[in-house]
Amino acid sequence: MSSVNFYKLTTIATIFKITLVFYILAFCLKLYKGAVISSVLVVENGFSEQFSFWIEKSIAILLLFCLIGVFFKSTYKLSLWLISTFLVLYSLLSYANGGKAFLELSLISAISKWWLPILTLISIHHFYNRKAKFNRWFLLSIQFSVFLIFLSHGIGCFLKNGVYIDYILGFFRDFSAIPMKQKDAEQFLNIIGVIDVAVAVLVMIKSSNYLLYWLIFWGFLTAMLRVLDASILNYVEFLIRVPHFTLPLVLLLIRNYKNETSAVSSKT
Amino acid sequence: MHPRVIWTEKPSEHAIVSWTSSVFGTDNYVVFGTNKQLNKNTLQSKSLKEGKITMRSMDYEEGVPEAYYHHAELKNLNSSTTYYFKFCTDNTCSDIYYFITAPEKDQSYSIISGGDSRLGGKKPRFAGRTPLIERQKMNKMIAKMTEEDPSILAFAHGGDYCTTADWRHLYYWFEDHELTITKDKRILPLILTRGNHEHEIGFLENFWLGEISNEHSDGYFFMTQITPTSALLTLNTETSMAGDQLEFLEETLEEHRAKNNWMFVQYHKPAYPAVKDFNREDFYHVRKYWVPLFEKHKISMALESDGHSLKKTAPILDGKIDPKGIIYIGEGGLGVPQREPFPERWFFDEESIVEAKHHLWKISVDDTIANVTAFGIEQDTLHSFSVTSKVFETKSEVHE
Repeated sequence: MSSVNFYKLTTIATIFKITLVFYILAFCLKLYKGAVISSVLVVENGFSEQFSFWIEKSIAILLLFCLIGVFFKSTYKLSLWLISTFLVLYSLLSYANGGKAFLELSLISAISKWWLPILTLISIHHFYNRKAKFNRWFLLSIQFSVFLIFLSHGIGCFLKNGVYIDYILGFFRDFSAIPMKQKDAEQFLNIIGVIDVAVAVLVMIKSSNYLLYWLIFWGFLTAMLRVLDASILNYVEFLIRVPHFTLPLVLLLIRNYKNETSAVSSKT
Repeated sequence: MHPRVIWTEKPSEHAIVSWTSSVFGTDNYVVFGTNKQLNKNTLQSKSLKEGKITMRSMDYEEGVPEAYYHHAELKNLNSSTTYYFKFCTDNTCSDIYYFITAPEKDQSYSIISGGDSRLGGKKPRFAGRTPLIERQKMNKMIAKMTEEDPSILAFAHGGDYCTTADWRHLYYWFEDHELTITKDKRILPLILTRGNHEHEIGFLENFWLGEISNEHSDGYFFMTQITPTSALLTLNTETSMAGDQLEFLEETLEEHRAKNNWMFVQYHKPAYPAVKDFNREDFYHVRKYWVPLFEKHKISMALESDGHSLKKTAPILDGKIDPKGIIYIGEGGLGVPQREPFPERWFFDEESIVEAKHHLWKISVDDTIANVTAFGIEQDTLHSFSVTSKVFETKSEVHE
């Protein structure tokens, strides 16, 4: 394997690891502050609060150990399977517990990250085995994740998610002199919704560098809005959305890597 | 079954009667009047909004029966008047219940306030399979208090009625809500708040606000004029807080605050949470968008829910404890298992109360003073304090 290929393989594996670290750290912080698991244990099942918080903190610690395990050759597989299992169970529990607007869309968005640890596992496996080529299913899985993320956001825009409206209104209120009304924000959301759904479909059928640049930009901006709108103390909501721009980034890297490889092949 | 009376904007002349039927029927209506037997001078109001209650597979699995919702509007009522009513599907009618309309003249009154009535009871807690002991006890207490104190006019519910607004949960909430009906069949009108556990279609089907005059009725935010100089603003933390609702809040306070000695506000998610993370964005949004208007217009007191504990904050103004500030009470204790709050948070002081105890609040409003009492599940007094009405004058009035 050339040093260039190895560098790219390293980059992809590193991006996956960083994404997972931020994403899972967000869950650890949620669990540390009290999350859906303790709510279900206390409210629905009658366990004591102390025990329920202990369970949540224990899971958070276990997740942290799993994150550390990701960085070691002997433990990364087990760690990533455990993280994946956690993500599936946690999102299903959140869905069953209710108490949130657009619950189905939240579930779709959560599902889009169910296989993130498996993708990380594959990228690390390739790195350790110096395998430069990712198979079609790997790429398709990332594309499908991005598709679900942007599709759920697009539908949320069409359904006039109140939180999205407040992000737009808050953004214009805090960072511009242009006053905006709710109906204008709703029109704006319709446009964003069309774009989100269109890019979600395009990423599955006809990806391009420009499309991926847009996805990275938009994923980052919408994640950052959580902090811009509700102060840096809302950083957990940013962390949980890191995959929204790093997954398109990985797609971009793989695409360019493939293009470079085919260019080199045609020259030779 | 499941009779309830809903108050929206003008409870001295308007109310909504809602009920559930097991068959849809061709003719659903309310018969009402001021005569106890409803045998003379009665009026009829047709069910204006009705349909089959949405059933999901989990509802069938839980074994709740299929049912139909009905809502009828009672208009042009007389103030401070006892109205008797029964609801009918075809020719089958319910028992006769009654409620009392709000006064048209100023008078002392009380309201009951509380939130979070989901679950409670033996563990594990499944609606329908486990008696919801705490919720039922609180509801019986509401009936008893209403019997003992005729000044109680309404029950302001702060939201989170059940785990979801699906029928397997709402069905049992309605069953338990019947326990708030007094022995002589008086129904305490509900002033509804939408909580974060009410995002399902069942909430819209079963809690209808009628043709209320503002354009935001589907947003579940409105002002209830309880007496000519006393109002309760209901806000909705489950929709946009910075858009139409903020405009509504600003316009309503501009127009009505000066006319009302008392302006209370209720909503579900707290600005100053006793239990959950203070920095959460939904709580932050309440503080960012609404609290400045509360402070500008010197609202009398804010009623909050969601946390599952009992709380009364210190008076807060401009992000600090200030004797001229607003007191935030509530956090929800109508049956939901209680959580340990954080009394060390900066907005609690030695006069605050912060405890994990089931509770409801009784707010007794006089001309210039309101006595506020938190009652525990045994109707024991947990905390009591008074607030005086804050004089608020618009700028033009000040200049005059």
